[in-house]
Amino acid sequence: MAWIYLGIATVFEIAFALGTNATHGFTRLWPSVFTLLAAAGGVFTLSLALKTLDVGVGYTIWTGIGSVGTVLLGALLYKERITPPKLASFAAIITGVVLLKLASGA
Amino acid sequence: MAWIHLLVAAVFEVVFALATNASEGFTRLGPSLLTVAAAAGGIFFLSLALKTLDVGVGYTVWTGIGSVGTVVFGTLVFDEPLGPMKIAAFVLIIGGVIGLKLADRLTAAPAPASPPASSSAATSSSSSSAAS
Repeated sequence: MAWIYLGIATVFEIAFALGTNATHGFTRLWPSVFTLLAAAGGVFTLSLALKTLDVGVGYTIWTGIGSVGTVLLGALLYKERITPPKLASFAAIITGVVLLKLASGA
Repeated sequence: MAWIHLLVAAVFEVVFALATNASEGFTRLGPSLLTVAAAAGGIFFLSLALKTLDVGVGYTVWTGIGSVGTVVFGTLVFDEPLGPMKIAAFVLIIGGVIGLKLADRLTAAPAPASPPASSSAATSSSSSSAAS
């Protein structure tokens, strides 16, 4: 059940990241409302998952998959360019985050 | 400035991650309040950074630095062991963050083709806002 909560929290997290980009520093109403609801949903479901999962494991999976989803959907929705140096950097960071998860031992 | 906002947001993220864990499903008041306050601060500073940065770059850097900070804090405060894998992970994440910072400058630079090299500071700041 904790893993299902973690999956739901990850979907909320991607929605939150994309929503934050649309708020323009929280100067726009509806993107801001959407972003805060997504953030609240993500935090609540993450906290349920962390009742049984280790914080290192839960947090890194949440943000690791959140990063991949955000980069891909940012390119699709906001036409952000992914150049080879950026792709290498994304890969390094996300690999590092997953490594941290493995090293945390679970 | 966007990168400074991003660093501040990452510090909030570390506090948020630790407080979320301590809230035990929002059943404890103090850590729950701290979690909400840290989340609000982190989100606000992230939104400021994303005014000029790509969401893919800003979000990945935010969480990457947040992950490193959370593990470093766990090592210092909770005496969690810091093995070679964690150090390799730190190198990858920090290297990737530096790579994105450099790539951000490179993709921002070619946009204004007009003036020669003299006013590099002015062109890089104006082109980063034009690129967003």
